[in-house]
Formats: sequence, structure tokens, C-alpha cells
Amino acid sequence: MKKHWSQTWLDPTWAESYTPPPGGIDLKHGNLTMSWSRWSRDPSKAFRGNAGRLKIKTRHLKKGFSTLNVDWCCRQRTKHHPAMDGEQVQKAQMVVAKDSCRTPVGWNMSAFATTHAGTVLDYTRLDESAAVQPGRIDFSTAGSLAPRSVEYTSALTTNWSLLAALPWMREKYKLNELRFDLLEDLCFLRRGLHLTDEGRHDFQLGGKSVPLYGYKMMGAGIQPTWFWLDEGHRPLLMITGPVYSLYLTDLQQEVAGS
Amino acid sequence: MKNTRRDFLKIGAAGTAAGLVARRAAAAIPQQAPAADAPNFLFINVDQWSLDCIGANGNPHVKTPNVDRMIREGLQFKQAYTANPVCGPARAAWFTSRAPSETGCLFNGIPIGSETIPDFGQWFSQAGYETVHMGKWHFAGREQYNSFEKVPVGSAMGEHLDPCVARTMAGFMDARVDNSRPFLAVLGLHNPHDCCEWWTYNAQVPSEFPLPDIEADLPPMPPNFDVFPEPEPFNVRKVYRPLDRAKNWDKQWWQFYLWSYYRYIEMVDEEIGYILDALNRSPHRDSTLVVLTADHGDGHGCHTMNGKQYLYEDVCNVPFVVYGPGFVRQSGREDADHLVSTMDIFPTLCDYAGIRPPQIIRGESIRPLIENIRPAKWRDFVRVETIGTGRMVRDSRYNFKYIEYHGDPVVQLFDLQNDPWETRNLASEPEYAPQLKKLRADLAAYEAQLETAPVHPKAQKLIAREMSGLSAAEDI
Repeated sequence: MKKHWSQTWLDPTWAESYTPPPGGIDLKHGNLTMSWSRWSRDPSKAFRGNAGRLKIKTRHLKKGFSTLNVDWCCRQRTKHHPAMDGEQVQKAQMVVAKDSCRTPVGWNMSAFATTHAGTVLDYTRLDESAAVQPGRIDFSTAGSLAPRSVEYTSALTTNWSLLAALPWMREKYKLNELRFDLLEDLCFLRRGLHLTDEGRHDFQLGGKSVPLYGYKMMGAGIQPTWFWLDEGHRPLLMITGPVYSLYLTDLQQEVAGS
Repeated sequence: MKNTRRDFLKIGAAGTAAGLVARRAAAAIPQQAPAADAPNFLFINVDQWSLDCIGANGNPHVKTPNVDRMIREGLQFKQAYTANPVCGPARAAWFTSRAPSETGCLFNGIPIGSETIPDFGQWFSQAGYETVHMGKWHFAGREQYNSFEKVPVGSAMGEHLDPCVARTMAGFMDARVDNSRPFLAVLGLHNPHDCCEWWTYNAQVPSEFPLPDIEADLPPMPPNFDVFPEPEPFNVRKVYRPLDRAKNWDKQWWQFYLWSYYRYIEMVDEEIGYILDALNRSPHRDSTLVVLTADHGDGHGCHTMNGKQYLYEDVCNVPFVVYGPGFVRQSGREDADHLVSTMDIFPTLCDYAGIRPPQIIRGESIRPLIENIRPAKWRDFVRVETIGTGRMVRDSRYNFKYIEYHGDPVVQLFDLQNDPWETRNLASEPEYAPQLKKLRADLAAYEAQLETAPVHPKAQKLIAREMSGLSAAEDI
């Protein structure tokens, strides 16, 4: 099988060393905790390596809704002074509809920067909640910023919702094409995106050929983005451009409470 | 007892900032407190964004609603120039308002040659401002935490960094309760610079175009894509254009590069919108002056080039927008008459804050232009330099531009009024001899006043490397 072009955007050294965690997802049960790391392939090597981590814990509620508990951490560097390296952390509790977009209904989100030692820099703290209305998201913060509303024009999703929805995309939603506005990190609205089925392709991971099933996301304000799932429905890889990719590091599933 | 803003400003440098001064660089900085009504400043800098790659500037292939809005509600300078079209030197120049040959930062990684040249982080910290730096810094030889009081976000590539910078700035606005001091926040957004990594990892053109769904929608190349304004200097012909990264590209791959570059621009435009939205929802909306500019542009296919480092308009003429309802008189104006330099930022901030600028600076306050007061006298040319050897002068009255590289007999002269895409080198045409002579004289006069720093040994090596036809660095 021909090599998929998105593999040229993967760091070959990383791909050679990556072994997916064992297991798969039982689609009959939905309570999942998935963890990824973000790999940076900066050619200058100043920022090469693990640049962040993402954890999404899904718990099913009654009446067609789920909660997503999200932990997202981005590491930056202050060159020449490793002690000054810090992280930008986001923690969110979202309620989403159990549909193909995992359409967000509302959330509470905290964002803050930390020092290299993990001390929270309070002067950077943003505590925000949001409620989604038809065509509009209403935001309010705990601090001095006035409330705001952001309009969206089609279906609505988030980058985190999509990762939570992907395991069911093929079997349950029979996705051909999905169009949406995407609220990235619950902050930045990328409008008019679409997700299409990219089919099956073999990837070289950890020295083995691994069959993966892909979805491609395109649109304004993003680079072409590929989500790659394995035969166990697990989102192993998200390639967001030539530098960054997310790769699955852990997956836990509770079979009760589906 | 809590200090009021006025109380704080009285104590100025002697008070809260004293501890900071002690660990700062040795720059002797005579200071005064800012004016009682000194405004806040938000300086947003982006990386590698060319002026013509903005929707509001007539480019239909890239969507930039947020910068468009800044332009619509603010003031755009269309004749704004970086001091040097490379990240590090450009940044050292705007932070110090000194020419790169004076700071000694001639290329990325070449450190500033003097501890006594103040940067505006130091200057405003010691004047009593709350100074915050987030994101890209790239000012070799000086650390942001020695110039700014708070450094909550370090560096990374744009896709990763810029959302962090934007969110952290929103948090800073939301959490700010102590308004006793005005703030100076510098946000170093990295995109669309990620295009540099794009070309690194897309040097090889695959046999089939990988994204057939966008093939029909790839943007057209700029009108000077395959036009070389000959004769061209050695550095352009032998060093900058034939970089390995693009030597195998066909026209379609160039279009794909441009398409990708536009997506990076859209990415950072949304983050700029998020920052402005936070400012506009904050109590600081009417008391904050916002300046947006870029360290340089990108070739984006002009003259079949990408990257930067050379002296054509696509990399030297940068976006420069001033925004702030309390500051810009007659918003929505476009100033295409006055030549502006990114070295003007430092004195402009000083002017608004009521702080003396350093004794030696090369920029001028653009406050009169922002307030739509036509100054009796304004500079009639602007100079840009690169890697220690190349220099250009742009004349404001006749719109001519002159380029020369040390030791290279090939020089260039462009009539930007009639040839904005720099397609025809007029330097050898006798009827343009007067313009050539004038611009050479302007350049010589300007350079005679510069206090040039010794050329760092690393810079000497890079210059020698370029003179032999090799790139100083592939990754800049």
C-alpha cells in the first residue's frame, strides 16, 4: 500500500520509537480516559521533543449527553535558562451532546501559566464559563472582563470533542463528510472546517507496519490535519502540521456505565 | 495603605522597581516617572508576515478579519520598514531603537555588543511600568527576564505558542486588580513563521499532489514570481534565491507553499482577534495603545524566493497598525505618505508615557502621525540593513529605492511608484543617475552618524560564508 503523504510530516525518529499502548476500545461502552503527548519536530532542535500533554476523560450522562474533563498543558522554553521554562495549563469540564460532533453545550474552563516548578502564576489566571445557544456561544469570566458572545454559523465542535467522538465515527456515524465550526481550546473559532474519511493506510510505527484509518480536516485558519485511528478504534495520532503531532500514550476504559 | 496609581508614579524607579534595577543589565538608565495619565501599551509582534498578505490590503486569498478590523478602526502605516529582515536583529532594533550595526546583532544568535544600550523593557520597568513579556523574544545577548518584570510564557513554534500567549494575555487582563501602575505588555506571536518549518519538511515534491481537493483553489503567485530584476547582487543570485529548500519546487508546489503560508496567517489572525477582544472587554480598553507589527515579511514567491534576509519589499515593508479608541484620531485612516521604521516604537511609547527616551535612538515618535497632526518635518528616507553587508534606502518623496551589498559592484534602483513589485533594475540607466546619486548620499550621511559596534567573530564568519556563496544559515 502506498505511503500516505501525511507521514512525511511525522518525525521518523519518533515514529521508529513509538509503540502504541496495548488494548482497544469496546464501542459498546463509552467511559474512556485517553491521554496523548504532543511531539514537536522543530528543525532547529531548540524545541524538539515532548511539548505538551492532553488528557480527556469521558463520562456518559443520561439523555444523550456526556461530560468531558480535559487537561491540556503546553510547555514553552525560555532559551538559555531552563529554570525559566514554564507551562500553560488548561482544565475544562465540558458537557457535550452524544452526536458526531460531540457538540458542546457548556463548560467551565480555567487557564493559567506556571513556572518550571509548577507554581501557578495567578496574574495569568482566566476562569471562564460558557453556554452554547443556537448560533451563539456566551462566555463569562470570574474576573474583570465583560461577557462576550461569539457567533457560529454551522454545526459546532471543539478539537477536544472531536477526539472524543472519533472512535465512534466510522461504525456509528458512517461519516462521509462533516462540516462544522471548531472552537479550538475553547478559545479560537476556526470557521468552515470539514472532516472527511481518508481511508485505510499503513504506517511504520515502532518498526512495524500498522494499519490506520484516517480522517482529514481542512479549512481556513488551520493546516491540513489528519486523525489516524487503529483497528481498535483508538485515535493514535493527530498530525496538525509539519511540526506538531499528538500521539496516544494511554487509554483506560470502564465497561460499566456505558 | 494601598498606593494609588499617582502615588506609585511619584516613587517611580526608586520604589517597587528598585529590586529589578539591581539585577538588570549595567545600562545606566537615568529615569523619570511617567505622566500621571500615562497609558498602557500592548505591543503585538508577529513573525514573517508580509504587508500584502492581509485581506484589508486587497488580498482575497487570505482571511484576516481581525487585523482587517484593527486597520478599519485604527491607523495603518503602509510605508513601514523593519530595520533588518531577520528575526533577531529586527527585534534587537525595535527594542533599542538602534540600527543593527550599532547593536551588533547582525544575525540570529549574534549577541548585542553593549550592555549600556537600553531596551524598552528595561526602560519602562525602571520608570515604574508593570512590564510583561510573553512569547517570542529572540534578542541574543539579553534575556527577557532581565528586561521585563514578568515573563509568564516562553518560546515555541507558532502553532503551539501563539494560543498560549493569547490565553495568558486574556488571563492577565481578567485577573488584573492592581491598577496602580500602567502596564507595558509585549506579545511575541510566532506565526506565520511556521512556514519556515513547512518548507524544511516539504523540500521534496511528491509525484502526485497530495491534496487534490484544494488543487483547483491554490492561490495565484505574486505578479513578480518569475521575474528577476537583473542584474541582481551576488547574495541574491547565489545565496538567497537558490536555497536547497525550494530548488526542486515546481510552480504548483510554490502555490501550495503560499496556500499554507496563508493558513498560518489566518491562524495567528484569530489569536490576535482573541487578544483584542479581551482588551476591548477589559477596563483598560480606552487607556491602552496597541501597536501591531512584524519583524519582517516572507518572500512568499516574489522573485521566486521565500524566507527573508534580502532587501526586496516583500520582506522589508512590514504591516504596522496602531489601534486604540482613545488614541487614534480619525480611525480607519491609512498613512501611505510617511516612512515609518520599527525603531520608532520605543520613542513613541516614551512620548505617550511622558518619559524621556534614551539619549541616542534612531527612531522618532510617530505620535503626531497617530494624532493626525502633520509634522512640519519628517524623515525623507528610511534605511534597512541585512547581515552586515546589505543596505537599502527608500526615499519618500520620489518612491525610489536603492540596494547595495558591500564589495558587490551590482547595485539596484527601483521606482516603487511605477514598479511596486520591483521588476526592473534602473541602476544602470543614465536618466536615473540623479536618483541613484541622491540615495547613495542619503545612505552615506545616515551611516556617518551611526555608532557601529565591532563585528562579532561569529558574524564575521557568517559574512565570509555568504561572500563565498553559501547561506549564513538555512534555519533563520
